[in-house]
Amino acid sequence: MSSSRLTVNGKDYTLPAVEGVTLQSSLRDDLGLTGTKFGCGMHQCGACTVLLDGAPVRSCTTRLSDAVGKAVTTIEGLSDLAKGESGGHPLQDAWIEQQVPQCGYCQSGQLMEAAALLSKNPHPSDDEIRQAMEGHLCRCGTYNQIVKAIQLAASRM
Amino acid sequence: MTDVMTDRNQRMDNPGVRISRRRFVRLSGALGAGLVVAACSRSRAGRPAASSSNAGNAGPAPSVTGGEGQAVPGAATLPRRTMPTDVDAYLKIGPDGKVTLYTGKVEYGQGIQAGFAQLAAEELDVPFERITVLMGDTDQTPWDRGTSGSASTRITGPVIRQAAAEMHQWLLELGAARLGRTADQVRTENGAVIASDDASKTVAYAELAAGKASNRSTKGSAPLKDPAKYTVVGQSTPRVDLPAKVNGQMKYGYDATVPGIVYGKIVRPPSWGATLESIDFGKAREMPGVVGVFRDRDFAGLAAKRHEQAEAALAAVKATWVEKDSPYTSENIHDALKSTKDKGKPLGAAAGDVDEALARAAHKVSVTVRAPYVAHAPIEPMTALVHAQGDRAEVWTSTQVPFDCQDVVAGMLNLPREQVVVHPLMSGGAFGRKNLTDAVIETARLSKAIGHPVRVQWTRGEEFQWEHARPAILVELTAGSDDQGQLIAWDWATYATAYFPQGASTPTPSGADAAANVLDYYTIPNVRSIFYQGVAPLPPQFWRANGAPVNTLARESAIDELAELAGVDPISYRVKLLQNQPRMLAVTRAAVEKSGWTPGKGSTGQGFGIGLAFTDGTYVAEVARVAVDRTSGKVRVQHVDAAVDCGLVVNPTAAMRQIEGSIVMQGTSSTLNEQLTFAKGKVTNPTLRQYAPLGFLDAPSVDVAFIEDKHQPMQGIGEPAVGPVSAAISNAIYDAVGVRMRDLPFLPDKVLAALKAKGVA
Repeated sequence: MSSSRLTVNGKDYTLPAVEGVTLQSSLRDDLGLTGTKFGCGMHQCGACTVLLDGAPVRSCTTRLSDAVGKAVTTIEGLSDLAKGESGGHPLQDAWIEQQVPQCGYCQSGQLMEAAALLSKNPHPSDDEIRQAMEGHLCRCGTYNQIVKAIQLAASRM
Repeated sequence: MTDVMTDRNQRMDNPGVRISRRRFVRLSGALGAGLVVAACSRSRAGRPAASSSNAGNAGPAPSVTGGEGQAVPGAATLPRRTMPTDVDAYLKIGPDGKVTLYTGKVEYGQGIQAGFAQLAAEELDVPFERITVLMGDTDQTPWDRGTSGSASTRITGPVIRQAAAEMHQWLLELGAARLGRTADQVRTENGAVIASDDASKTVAYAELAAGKASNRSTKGSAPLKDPAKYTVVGQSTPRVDLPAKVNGQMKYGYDATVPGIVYGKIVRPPSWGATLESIDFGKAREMPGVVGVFRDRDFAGLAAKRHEQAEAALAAVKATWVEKDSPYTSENIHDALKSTKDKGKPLGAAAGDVDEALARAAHKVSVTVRAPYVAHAPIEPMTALVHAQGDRAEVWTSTQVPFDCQDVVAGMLNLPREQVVVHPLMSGGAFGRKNLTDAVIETARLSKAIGHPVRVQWTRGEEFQWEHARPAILVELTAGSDDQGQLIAWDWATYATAYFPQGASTPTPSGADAAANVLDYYTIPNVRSIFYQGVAPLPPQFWRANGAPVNTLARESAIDELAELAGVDPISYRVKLLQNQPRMLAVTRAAVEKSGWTPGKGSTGQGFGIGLAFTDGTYVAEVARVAVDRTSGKVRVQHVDAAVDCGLVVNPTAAMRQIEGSIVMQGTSSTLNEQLTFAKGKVTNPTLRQYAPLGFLDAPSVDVAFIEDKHQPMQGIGEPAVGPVSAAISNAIYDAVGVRMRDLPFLPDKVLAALKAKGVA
């Protein structure tokens, strides 16, 4: 079995290059970075979202081989991108202040997408937020609170 | 691979207790208040005796996939358990003054971890931050029937509150004796007993309680704090599970792992009820990483060292099945329910002579409501990790029912209950689905068969196909009023199947449960309510608020129609009906006022509609504002105003989030979008894209107001707000465009068809 080198949250790893293995599986099962979640495996819920060179991708349908040579950022590395008042990323601080998560399972993906949005569009309107976040499902119904938290973080960044 | 298992071996305070080495999953590092905080093992011998368990039947276990209604051997013969009444089973004060609260309930986003801690902190007079809540671990927490039914705050809240009050009284008495005072000469503050006449005379709880049991009972009569004096209960104290949910550290069932873990796959049938005719593991067995294959009658599975290897091996398995040729589909299910041979049983409300009253009614309406099977579709599919080791078993899973999991694994593996420990992890969505133990049962079987710790994690396709869903329901209602606007007759029939919850000896009729009893707040002298048991082509299961959306839709849209026949607006009509129902009247007025109620009168495309429900002790009124596109039939729910009277509110923000979320998702989404389509025992829309839960673009904005009397008992929060949504939307659609939608979900083509039939599209 050959190996792959992957950079995740600023650190380099050597991973077994299993045929067809997804980035999601490499992160969760090989690196133990379980903050990135499995929701559907089919690019339909957004729970597995990570950043690849700063752009949001669904890790469940991204092959490990497509991530080699790029910088992967997962939820575990989000606070490295920017610091808010409480020490986490301003989005994480806003999420806690606004009491966004209920079960919390979809929130890693939501946060990564939100981080990508704000890096491209630092002051989005509510409509722009909803359009950007549209691929993320939340079965606990936290959508409105997510929009508020993104606005709160944007106002501070 | 990150090793999340840590061996702990600590000496306990109590002498004579045999220490056993146990393995723990460390679940959250944030604030030391995860779902389970790894600490020393509370061996059973050291615990205060649990309440005497009645000899009795634990009830039938739920079905295992691939074979409907397969009973799990042994689980049914375990003695029934009840919640302990020993205060010391719930609360312990450590030598450092920290308080540990033990509960068999689990947190999955409702906020009870914080809420329970608030209740305990208030009665004990310790700061909230000093309390750690351990939840659900079968080795460390008191037995609980499971977290569901909007019962945590409502039923367990008072138990915890009283336990804390009892412990407080005990500490007060101990402290008084220590300080040479009587109990009425001391007070408590900040975890210490203080002499009322000399604040320098003080002794900390830790010093008083060290190494001692209170031996008090939750049935005691220690005085409770006056709610008017609350400083912790009633505050929106930030939930302790939040930090780990935003930094990736919270562990869910899907994240559990142990050294040596292998990944399991179950060989699934093509449809419900199919039996396994033959299976050929020949090729699969030889594939890379495969550690075992197994078959026992209809149950077959395999495991491999890596996920991809298990999936590849599964694809190489050749199995033939004999399918049931079920004639039922999502298209014909309501006809099938209606044509049941069951003669029907009276259920709930009954009074007077309905037929006679209908005959003389000034106004009559007939309402038929059809609701489909709806899925739970939690974002985290079912999963379990089980290590079956001959004489014991250890289970890690997201579950609402850790103690049921313990029972079914003990039964399945023929082990004493005490030799099975269940560690519940945070659940990525539950909604009633994770009340069932099917994932745990199959994983336990596979682990025992192949001799490794195995995690089986369901794919999204499996999650849809092997759902146990809120079943299809048909309601037929004929209602009559007199010429004074009073309801005089109510003839109600529910056609549905029944739930068979684990542990219950009698089935619960679905649809005839939540919010079903019209007499809960409307006065009607002649009522008949019958439940007709019908077929269940897909297995039924409790779902957030169950039949409440269906019942409330039938009831509240009938009320609207009767109002129209009487020439009265829907609000005034209801206000008159609710004259003897001050709490329902109060929430109705509050929701209407907040909404800026401005009727569209059927022609503007914009409308307001109201729905009321009483569920789990809570009164809810909701006003929906909708816009209907007459070209496409698409309904946009713009805003919902909810007024809620749930008695004392423990944590307002946590409660508001639950209410809003349930309105947006289980309420609005099920009304506009959701249905499981099926034929021949196979779900035909088994993806999230097809099933289409509501997303960001369609979510209504929501405002929630509490109409609160702090002296009223705490009531349900998780489900009561779901019921009124469908009714409010249906009534609002009528106000917007003049058609009555009662066939769930209100898909655009159905709305368009209704508009065309009325000649307005």
